[in-house]
Amino acid sequence: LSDDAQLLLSRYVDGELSAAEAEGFRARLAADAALCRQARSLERLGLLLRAWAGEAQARCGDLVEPTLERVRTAQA
Amino acid sequence: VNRGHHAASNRLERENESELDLQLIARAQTGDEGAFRLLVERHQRRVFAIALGLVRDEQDAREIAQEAFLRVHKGMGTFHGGSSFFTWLYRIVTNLSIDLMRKPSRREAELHFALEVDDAESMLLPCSPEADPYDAVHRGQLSQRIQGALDALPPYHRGVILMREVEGLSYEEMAEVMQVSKGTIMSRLFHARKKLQRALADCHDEECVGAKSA
Repeated sequence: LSDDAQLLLSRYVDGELSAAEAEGFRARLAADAALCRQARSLERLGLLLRAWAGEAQARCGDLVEPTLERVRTAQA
Repeated sequence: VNRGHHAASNRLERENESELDLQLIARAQTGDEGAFRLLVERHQRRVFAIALGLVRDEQDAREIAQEAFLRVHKGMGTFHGGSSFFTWLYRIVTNLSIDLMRKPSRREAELHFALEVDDAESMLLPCSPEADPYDAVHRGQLSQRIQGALDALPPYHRGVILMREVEGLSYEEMAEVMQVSKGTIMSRLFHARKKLQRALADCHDEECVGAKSA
């Protein structure tokens, strides 16, 4: 795939194309197996990253009390 | 593939969240500690994950998240809702993370780490392409691989890919957070995705059924 096609695909999957542009791109996607594979690959990459973030968020712990304590100290 | 709708629904969801944030800020500006507490509760995990993605150290990420909320509290009087609360908050998180990474001791650590993970593909563990990514990550099988692939990216690539894929920020919002042009955001996203696709190739390659062969 050319860089231009991949950039356009990125804008499509990110919802950054206009409605008319997106419609035109969907037709192109349906006709181009390589482009479609790349779209699926981007979609799956997003799933992986969201899954990673979900796990990372679970390691956050509770920041509320320490944060409020800092605020109170700063105000004192 | 239907990401356009995903992005749209995510945006709608965030607009609703943003409305609630504005109400909480308005209350917090009058000294309502409970409202500020709710703001921290609502955003702490996401802020932590973005900071962790940028600085790669859990303790540093917690420190940055707390400092970011403290700055929000200090600056609340000047916030008039011109941008959304989370855009403002993420800009603070991004700036704090960049400041930390610019510290000389941290720069040496970054360089050392970059040399270690230069060949990210070779250090990654094998994984099954058939596995459902959510199940696999919850079992802890993929997490290290994804972390390794993210670690191999420059910080500004990590930031943009996480804000887009995890938080669903638009190009315009990311440009505001990172204080660069939309073109720069597009370029960073493009390169970040390319590198991550290479590093995680066997985790996300799928046959595309229904399309004509090229």
